[in-house]
Amino acid sequence: MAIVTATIGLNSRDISDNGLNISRSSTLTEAGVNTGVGSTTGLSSKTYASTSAVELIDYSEDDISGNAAKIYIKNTSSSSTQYVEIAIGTTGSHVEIARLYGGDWMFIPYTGGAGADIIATPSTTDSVTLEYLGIY
Amino acid sequence: MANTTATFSLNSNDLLTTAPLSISTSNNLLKAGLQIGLDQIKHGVVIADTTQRDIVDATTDGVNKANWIYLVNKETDPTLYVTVTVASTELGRLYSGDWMFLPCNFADASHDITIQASSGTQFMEFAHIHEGENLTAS
Repeated sequence: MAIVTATIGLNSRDISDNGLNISRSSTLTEAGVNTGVGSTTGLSSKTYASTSAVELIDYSEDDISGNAAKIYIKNTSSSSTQYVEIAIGTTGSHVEIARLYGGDWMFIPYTGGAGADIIATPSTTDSVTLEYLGIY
Repeated sequence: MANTTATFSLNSNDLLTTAPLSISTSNNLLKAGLQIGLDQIKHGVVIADTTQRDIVDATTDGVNKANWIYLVNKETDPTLYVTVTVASTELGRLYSGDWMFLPCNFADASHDITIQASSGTQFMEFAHIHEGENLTAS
């Protein structure tokens, strides 16, 4: 087992009178036990220049298993108007779950399964690079 | 507008043998397609039970708008989890202590985010930082 720590901070001085200050760290474990996760896809990146739907993470080929997997994805561009749609399903049929504009990131639990890959669809043909990692 | 920052880090000294795993990033939470900060928030704690329930109800007000969802399972029993779905599609399970952060786009009003506890009742903290929600008439 390994010790892997995921930490988020959400901070704002002016979204409310008292601001916002959320900080949370969690040690990532396998499903249902206190054993740390032991596998990762490794940090990878893919660059797209098409508005076609493509597989970012293939559940089977990337061998993401277990019921406590987590996925990190970041849009490394700097555009505030262009985005990449992130979906679950297949390239032919999927459900949009998120939009990542330039600089945006997401960290989600991922059950996956047959026909439940992570699909990316850029909003334009301009080049965009996604960084991603699965951990399980 | 408000200035809200989301920071993330993922670290391990022993997952990989060749080098430590160390990822960190941050971003400002902006309105969709703009350089204007998000200025609406809901933050609180709810109780998930074994019935699938909306934690964020997608509305047409939110279609193609920015909606950042933070969720954490506050339980401590490692066997407990909450299943999270988006638009009736299972995203994954948040076991005790797990958190998630998702820039959900409500493609349509069916894109509700739901939670369902594996057993009993489980405390969930959430924050929904967003734009575009109008109050409904009484």
